Amino acid sequence: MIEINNVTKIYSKNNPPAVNSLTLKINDGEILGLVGLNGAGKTTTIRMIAGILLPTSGKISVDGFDVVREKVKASNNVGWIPELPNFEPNAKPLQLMRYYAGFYKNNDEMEKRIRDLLDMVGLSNDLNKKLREYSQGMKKRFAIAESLINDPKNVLFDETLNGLDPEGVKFVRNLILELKLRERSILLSSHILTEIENLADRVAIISHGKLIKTLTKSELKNLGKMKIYIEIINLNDFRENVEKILKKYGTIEKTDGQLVLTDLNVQDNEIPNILDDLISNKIKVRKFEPVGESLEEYFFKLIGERQ
Amino acid sequence: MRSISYEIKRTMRSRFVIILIIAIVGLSALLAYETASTSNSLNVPTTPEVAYGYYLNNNNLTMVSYVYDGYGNPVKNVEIYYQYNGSDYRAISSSKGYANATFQVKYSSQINVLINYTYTRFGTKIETPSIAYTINLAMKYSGLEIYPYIFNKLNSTRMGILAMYVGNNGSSSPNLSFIFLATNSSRSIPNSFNYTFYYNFTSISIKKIFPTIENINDTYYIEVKNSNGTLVNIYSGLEGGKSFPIILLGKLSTYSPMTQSRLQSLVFSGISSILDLFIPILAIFTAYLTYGKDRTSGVIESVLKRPVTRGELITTRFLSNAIAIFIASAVAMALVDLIYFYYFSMYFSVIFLTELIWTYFVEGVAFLSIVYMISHLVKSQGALLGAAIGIFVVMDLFWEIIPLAVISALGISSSSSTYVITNIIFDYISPAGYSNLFQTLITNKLGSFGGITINPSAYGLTYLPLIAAGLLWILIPFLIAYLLAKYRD
Repeated sequence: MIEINNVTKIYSKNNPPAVNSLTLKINDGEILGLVGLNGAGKTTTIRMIAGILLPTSGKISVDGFDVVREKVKASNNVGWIPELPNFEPNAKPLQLMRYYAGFYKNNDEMEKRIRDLLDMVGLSNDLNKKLREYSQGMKKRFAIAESLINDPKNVLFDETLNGLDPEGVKFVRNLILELKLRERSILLSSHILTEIENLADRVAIISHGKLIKTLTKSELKNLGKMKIYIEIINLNDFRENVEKILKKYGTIEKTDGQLVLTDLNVQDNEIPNILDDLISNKIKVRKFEPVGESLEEYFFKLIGERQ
Repeated sequence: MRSISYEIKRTMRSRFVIILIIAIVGLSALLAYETASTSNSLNVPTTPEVAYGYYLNNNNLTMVSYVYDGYGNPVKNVEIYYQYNGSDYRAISSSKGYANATFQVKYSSQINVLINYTYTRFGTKIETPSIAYTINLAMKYSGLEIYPYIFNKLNSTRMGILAMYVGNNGSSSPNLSFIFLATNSSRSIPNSFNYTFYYNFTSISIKKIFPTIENINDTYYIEVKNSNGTLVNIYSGLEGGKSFPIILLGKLSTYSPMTQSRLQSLVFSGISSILDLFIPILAIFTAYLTYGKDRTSGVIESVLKRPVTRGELITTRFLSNAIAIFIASAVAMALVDLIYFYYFSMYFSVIFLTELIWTYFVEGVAFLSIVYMISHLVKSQGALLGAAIGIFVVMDLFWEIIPLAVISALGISSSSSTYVITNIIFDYISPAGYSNLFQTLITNKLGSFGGITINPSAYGLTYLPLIAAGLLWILIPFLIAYLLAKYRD
């Protein structure tokens, strides 16, 4: 469990805070998506949790341990996969993994775990290469392996999907879901909002270092105002009648041979009445699909309003 | 924590560190070998010498000359000119060293042959002055002549004699017993001797003899007997054709016992310069490669995210670097000590060895601390590398020149107290001066500039302030680096 309590990070007195009075909590077994524009403070937040940066004020605790005052205990349970992993270029993967393993309580299984992790991320055939010979994607895979070396209870993914091939994206997606099943708390920062939308249990939207909105899974499914995508069989024969019916409920837009009913003037629970109205007027309906806004649409609308 | 052992291994396996340690140890050993092997062999002559003899066959005089080097070995291609009765006779030494010439002489009681020779050295032809070799015509041959002071190649502090025998018609010697008589008596020819060493040879023409030397301070005499036990006269053509029953050789050892003071001088005459140059290079660039570069490039973040505090991380790396410096200075000094022991049968005193290792350890670790500190003050790898090079150039490479320039600019007289104080202040300003301060303390001579004898304590140079200065040089920059690492991103 990660708790961020009223945390502020100021890099320079001449600039506004990178993170401003941020409060967040990531529970065990929960995936929290962190979204925001570039410079919103996502990476700074993650780096503070990982113990790389010191908060200017506020407190971050990992499983109850303060990341500043009890750094060793806190970091023992954090895995961080940075956006641009940076390793000692002349080291070889096994050698470096063993070095990293030296910081944790080791047991006889560690060597096996190191090899299993490298195998899991698909690097077992590249163990003789130095890390400087690795591509960015391979470095990211290595970063995943080394971040999980101690099987941490809290994992931070910072734009991890960037630079990965489709197979890598699928691998990370499955890994995140597997970690969630194992009750790990996961912080997922990504610009690919569809991934966040599909994976996250909650989404925190931050702008200029401040938390703007936190959305739950159910809120994610019904973001913003509803639209209804409608397809009518032989529309041209019934167009006048259809438009007359639908205008009672909102504004009609046309797109790709289907009608889109927006600006609904009925409650969500009354939407089925619209379908009933069409059917009772002998209109043959092929598709009637009410949808909310996508996270991306919602995000840009929200950020746009803020700005 | 296993990570500390990894940090040490990581530092010690760095190609740069390995090369530098090998260079430091290797160059120190080489200089130790060079200074040790030449320190006692400075007296060995490097110009050819000639031993003379003769034999007569009717009116034909054959001059026999053997050209030899400082060790008594033959020297070829030396031209010898014999001048008799207005005529020159020339001979060139063969590979066996002989340069003989035969010419007719007129009978009288004795004749003088003027001899000089020429040899080539460094491309220049050198001609020796003429000397007179006296031939006693009553003697058909010179017989035995003895030339002292050839050096033993196996131990160049030991000397011996070159015995030359020219018999009838140039024949070699009968059985001869060479008796070396050793005494510590101050009388010109003592009545008794402490030791007597016998060496028997037969059929000799040229013989190198190195007697046993029981006591390096003993005076040696030599007498030669034939197989009947009768004393053989030793001829000397260069001393007017006289013959001697006994010859004073004098001391046959150039060895003077090694002292700690001489050992220290040997270290400070060359090895210290090597360490003064290379230990800071090792320190500065090891700090850059194993800490500063990682910090400025961000590589260190992959370590910092582990269960380790910022303080532990910087301390661990610093200690591993310091160990590399300790190993370099300790191994170098230990090897130098062993080489000197091989040559002089004397180890450095424990105090001196400790002082040396401490001095270069402090010098290196102080530079290490400075680079660690700067690693937290600059933002980029390039700026750090530039600063590291700058520190090396200004605070180490040119640190001997900077005080001279300042002293010269201020017009300070080298015989004044101000000169001494200025030098000492400069030695305190840079870690590169630390070894100079210790050198001054140990030798009572002003470190890097040498020559001026001072009383170190009169200038505050005692162990306490020097040790304190060393600790401050290490601790202050490192403490700043530590605090910056701990409290600043």
